[in-house]
Amino acid sequence: MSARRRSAAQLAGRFSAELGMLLAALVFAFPFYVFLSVALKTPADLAASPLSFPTDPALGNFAEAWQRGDLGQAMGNSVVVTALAVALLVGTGSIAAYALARRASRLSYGVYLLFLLGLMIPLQLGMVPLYQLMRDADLLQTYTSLIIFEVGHQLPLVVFLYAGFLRALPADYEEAARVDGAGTLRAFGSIVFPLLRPITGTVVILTSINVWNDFLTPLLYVGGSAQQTLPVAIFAFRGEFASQWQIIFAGMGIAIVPILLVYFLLQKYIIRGFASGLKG
Amino acid sequence: MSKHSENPTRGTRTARTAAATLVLATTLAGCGFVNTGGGDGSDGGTNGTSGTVTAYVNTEQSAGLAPLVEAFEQETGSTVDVSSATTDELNQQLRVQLTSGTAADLIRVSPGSSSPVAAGVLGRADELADLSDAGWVAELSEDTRSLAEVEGEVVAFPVSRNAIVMAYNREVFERAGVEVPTTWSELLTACEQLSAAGVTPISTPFQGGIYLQFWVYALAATLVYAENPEIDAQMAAGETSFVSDARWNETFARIAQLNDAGYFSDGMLGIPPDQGLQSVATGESAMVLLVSAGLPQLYGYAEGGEEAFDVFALPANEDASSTHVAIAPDFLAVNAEAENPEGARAFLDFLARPENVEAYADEMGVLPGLAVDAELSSDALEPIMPMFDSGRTAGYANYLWPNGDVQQTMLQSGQEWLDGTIDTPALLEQMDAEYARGTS
Amino acid sequence: MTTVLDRATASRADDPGPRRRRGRRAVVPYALIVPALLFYAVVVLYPTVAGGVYAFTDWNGRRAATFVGLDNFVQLGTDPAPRSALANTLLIAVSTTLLQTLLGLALALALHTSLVSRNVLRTLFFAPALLPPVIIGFLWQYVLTPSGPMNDALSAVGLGALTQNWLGDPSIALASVIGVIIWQNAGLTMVIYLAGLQGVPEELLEAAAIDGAGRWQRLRRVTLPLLVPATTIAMSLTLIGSLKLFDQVYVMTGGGPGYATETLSVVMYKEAFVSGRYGYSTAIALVLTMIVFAFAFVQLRGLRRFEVDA
Repeated sequence: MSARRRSAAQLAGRFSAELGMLLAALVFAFPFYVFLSVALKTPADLAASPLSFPTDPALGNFAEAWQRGDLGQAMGNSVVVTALAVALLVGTGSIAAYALARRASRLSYGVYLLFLLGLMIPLQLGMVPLYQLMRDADLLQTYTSLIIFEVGHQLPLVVFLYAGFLRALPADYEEAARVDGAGTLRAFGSIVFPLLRPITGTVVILTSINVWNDFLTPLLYVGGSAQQTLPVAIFAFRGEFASQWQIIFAGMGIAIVPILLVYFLLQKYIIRGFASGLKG
Repeated sequence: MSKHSENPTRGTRTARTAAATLVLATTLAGCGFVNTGGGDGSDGGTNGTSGTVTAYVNTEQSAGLAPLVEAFEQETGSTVDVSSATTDELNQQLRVQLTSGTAADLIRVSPGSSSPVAAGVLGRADELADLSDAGWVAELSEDTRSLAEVEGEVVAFPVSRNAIVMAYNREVFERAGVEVPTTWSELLTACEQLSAAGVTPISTPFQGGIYLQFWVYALAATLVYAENPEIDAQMAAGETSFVSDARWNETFARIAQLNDAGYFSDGMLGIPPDQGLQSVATGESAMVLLVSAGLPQLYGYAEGGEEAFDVFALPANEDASSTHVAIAPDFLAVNAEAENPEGARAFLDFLARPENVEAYADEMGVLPGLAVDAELSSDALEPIMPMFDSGRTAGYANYLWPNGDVQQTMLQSGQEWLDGTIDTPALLEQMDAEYARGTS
Repeated sequence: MTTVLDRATASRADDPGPRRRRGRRAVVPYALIVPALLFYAVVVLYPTVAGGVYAFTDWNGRRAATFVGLDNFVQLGTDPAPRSALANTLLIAVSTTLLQTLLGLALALALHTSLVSRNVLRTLFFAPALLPPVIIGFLWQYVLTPSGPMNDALSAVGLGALTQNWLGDPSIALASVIGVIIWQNAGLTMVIYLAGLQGVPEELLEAAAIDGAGRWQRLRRVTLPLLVPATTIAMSLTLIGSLKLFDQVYVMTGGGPGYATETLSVVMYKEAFVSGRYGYSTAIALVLTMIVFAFAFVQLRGLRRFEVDA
């Protein structure tokens, strides 16, 4: 009898917990609702009732944003920059972290700390000298300038994540491989890198988000050019369509689709990656 | 990432894959990885000397120039490559571009010394080409010329001139039985009546401060500049200052008077410009002070379009015949280090033709930049034309301030002032402090 | 690649330390760090040092820089913008770090359960952290205007008394900005805690339950101590991020109304790119850098001590 009452109470408790979380989620999701409903409204609909659900979804907003904002070009640019920057980050970051984690010397610790410093230094301190460096190299308004910047800028995070993971990873396999006569790079490529898969997933997703979303430096380097990335295009968009909120929101919606896609594909790596990072 | 993980020759495979990706991406993206120089110099042209002219202008100019660019390209066979940004954005980018030598041939510069990329500031630093020998120089009006000139050289071309006007919703005025005010006390009475009729008399979208400055310039045109044209020289010489000049104090006191009486929008510091304009279009508010270039946007919000509104000059005192209008030239200049200076000048000469001056002004609802005989088809600015014709105009007050920070402080500290955090002398003292820092 | 390896092998000879300690173990060559270090040096190290030098000059981007000693730092103390920016930056950093950590922890605890909706909710709460800050800024700027959706929604559910001029009232604009930042990043903290919770052994909690520990006691005595590493990471990331906060503020308020939401990053950007005072701007950047270092140091110290206690 009492057992049944307890389970009934448990059920009620669980139900109210579920309900409570859903309510919290609703409040939390409110801006997203606004986002979507504005993007789907006609100007008249928007003026009449900003909050209501769009009566007649104006999918044309997306087409108009895509066309007038030249978002296709911008999206292509973002894909090129993000893909190459992330590939370079994974390549250079994992191998550097490997050396740093496997050498227990004062020097390697010093270099590691030097990298970590980069997590703290505000970007603005070196913004102008770096801009001038890019100008002198004639790289402004090119993908190259952005890719170099993003790689250098994100490396501290990447080194930090890889090094933490590697420290917790026993060195036995790779040493066995090297006893078998494999060179360092061979050992790294064939033994270590595959073992890094979970943290590589985390690195890919975090750096993709960061590079994709970056705004200030892309604005300076490629703003107004044919190489401008999506956030820059959206920013210009906002200026140009001053008050056509439905078009602005539709454009913003287009800009976030790819990043959401990457997230859904690699979702499981996020928590797993952090978990392994915490252990390390 | 994962599909090669069992492969023992991963190192080389990775390299090969990366190389393949790079090649693919390069192919896809054309020449976005290096600057090939094809698009930025005079070498890409199709027709003799003209080639490609690069231009970096603000959003409004870009809209007005678009048809003219097309006509110019057809006539000369050369190309004008226009990039645009909002004025704020442009000012910031242009500064870096000029510092770094990456600026376009034709650039939008602010008048006087009002920003780090103003004609005066850049002209003194020899960053702008001398245009004094151009044919259109003879058609510069006196007040425009003083803002376009540095050390005797004309360095900027006025694409148009803007005026600060009060736009009102005709129907709202009619319903409340309000006449167009011509003096300050008439304005107060009108506000009183509108307020009683349940409308916000004056829409004040002061988020970001852009619309706040219009009030200062419009009132100062009548209260400060009409009374004392020498004020800028006196301030520069240190003979007077914002805080010690009675006329400047009066200018700010007028704004405070309207604010204290509750004639401004509720929550004005949080209202963005588009909503401020919209509220006049819907009739929630009766009027809004804005630059004439903003009129097309305002018209766009009302079903009746242009017909729903009219404009008047903001009165500032009791003498209707002394009301001045604040006007501002909108400049283009030629970068001293332009890749194609001849092309840039040729384009300016093209813009200076009377029919093109007229076309631009008509398209944008602004005043013609040059004193040519232009017949405007739009009568949107008709009510202020008499003042314009009789020379009752003054430049925006900030144009001859020594740097852009005086204005920046006026806008930011001005918001604190409107909110009651600081009083008028404190605001004026802060502006004086920035003024004293001189030209940057 | 082979040349890099050769050089690395050669350099091994004059680096006896670790090799001796590790006996026969082959040594991973330092040369592997070189590519990463090159990128890092070009993008971060060199510009930072070069920029830092400008902090002591009056460089304006055009004429040659003149050395002005500490003038820029003296000026910093008197200008209204950097002064309130300093206070705001500290306030934002402290409050977002505390509130976001608490909220993230609460969300993680709530979703580390068997709730049917947990997967959907995890995704939802994490979603804002994925979006470009520029878009977050535009979205919230729209939501928070006086006649915008936020106030409309409050009125619609009978909470009309709570409507505010969220970004236009200087006394609450900063709180609104902080709220937006927490909304955006709480999901990230949640994910870090969810990862940490995976490392809390179920048996330990069951053992504690058998010993008669209530839910709250289990949380305090077992779960929280084991979450200290997660807390360290979450708080460090939040703290550093919030000290450098730029995009959202720049887009939403530009530092206004007045100076109510000015942050050091925004002021430094405006001084450099709006006013053209690079020297002064880098002086502000240098001050911010010092603050970040100080905070990071204190925080790591404090949390490490806690870790030992636990």
